[in-house]
Amino acid sequence: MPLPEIGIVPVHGSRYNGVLMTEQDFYVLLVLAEGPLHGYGIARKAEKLSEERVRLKVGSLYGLLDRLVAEGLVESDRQEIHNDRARRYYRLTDEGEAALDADVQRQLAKASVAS
Amino acid sequence: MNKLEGRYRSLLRMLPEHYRRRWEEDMVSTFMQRMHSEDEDENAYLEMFGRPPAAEVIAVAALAVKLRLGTERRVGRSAVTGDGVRLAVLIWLMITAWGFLGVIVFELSAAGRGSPMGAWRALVAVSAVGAFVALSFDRRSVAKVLAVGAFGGLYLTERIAGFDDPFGFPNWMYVTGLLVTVLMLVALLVAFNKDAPAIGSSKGWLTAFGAAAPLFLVEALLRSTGVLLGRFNLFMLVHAAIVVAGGIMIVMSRLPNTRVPTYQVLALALIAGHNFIVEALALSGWFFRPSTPTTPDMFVGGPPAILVVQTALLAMVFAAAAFQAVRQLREHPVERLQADPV
Repeated sequence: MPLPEIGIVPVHGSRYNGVLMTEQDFYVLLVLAEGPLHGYGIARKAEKLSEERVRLKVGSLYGLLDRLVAEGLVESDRQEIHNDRARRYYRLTDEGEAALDADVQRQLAKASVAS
Repeated sequence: MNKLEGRYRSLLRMLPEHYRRRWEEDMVSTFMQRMHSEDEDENAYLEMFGRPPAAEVIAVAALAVKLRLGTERRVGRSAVTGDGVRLAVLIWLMITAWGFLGVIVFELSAAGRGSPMGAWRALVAVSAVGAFVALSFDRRSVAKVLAVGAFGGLYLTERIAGFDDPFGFPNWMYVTGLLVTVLMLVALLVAFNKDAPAIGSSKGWLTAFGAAAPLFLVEALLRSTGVLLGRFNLFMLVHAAIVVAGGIMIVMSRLPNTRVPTYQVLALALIAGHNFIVEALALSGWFFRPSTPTTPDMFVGGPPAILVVQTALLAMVFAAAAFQAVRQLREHPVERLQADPV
């Protein structure tokens, strides 16, 4: 019989169940809510929408995209060739849209309590 | 492929192979677009002589750590490895905090009050205990600041107080000891990043700490008043607990349908390995002992049998746990990413 778990609690399932998402997650999903986009475009648009509060380095962006894809919130859309390089586009899934809506509602609820 | 791209691809080798298979081309494409300038001359210069900016290097390094310790995605072998490292760090910090309780008692006692650095050392010790308490409450940023402050402070205390090899031991012994501590601190800093899973049972950790704390306080009190001297110390009980845990692990691995969870075996291997190095260093102190008037008592009169036995037992537990951890880790799947649908 295995020893009991003694303190490290693995997180199961999506981190968005009732928990506010990070600012980076939020802006990436928000950018993709406007339509499919490639990695460079996502980073640039997230910077612009957040008034440069969110500045995504390439390593951070793909860590985040990898996780969002794994959690089913984002998926690959298509691939295009740009300057002789393959450029992959991503789009929001229905689950991603629902998670974004839920987060917006939570933020609105918090704002209404504060005001 | 230009030189800048080559340098960026070299940087990406820090990432696990399965991850690179899925994301490398995309990352390179995005990176090169980021570095692209409207000025053709500047582009040509960048492609030849440019290097990935420091912020990009840090971002890739941070991603590599998160992926290997399973904090980015909570599945597969890397997640189990991450849990094992975090458990080992928590146990190490708890054992260290017990030791620092003794420092607090000593510095507050009559024996310690005369020392010019006493108050500073007491502050360092309080920080170390605070680091464990903060981490058990999952205040990981506070814990990191306190732990780095405590061990950095301890190092500075020794430098300021003129700690200059009082026993004449070889320099590599001090360097190795420092390196082991630095490695555990680095493990604390990287394994408890903001995406790491929460520490579930603060009460459990504090109860474990509190259960043994009075014993360490009494021992320190007896030592500071000169009642207790000699080679016995409570860390021998810690080592005994490690040996017992190793025995349980071996027995359970031999029984059908039962064994210790992989992350606990890995944590046992790490803690046993750490303590083995610390004890082996103490033992080396006897073999490399100098014949000076300042030679500590424990190194006079012959090889300390208890130290030899402890070191040998810790080495055996480390070897057995490391072997078992590798075997069990192999049974956990390396995360396989789905084929790209595009």
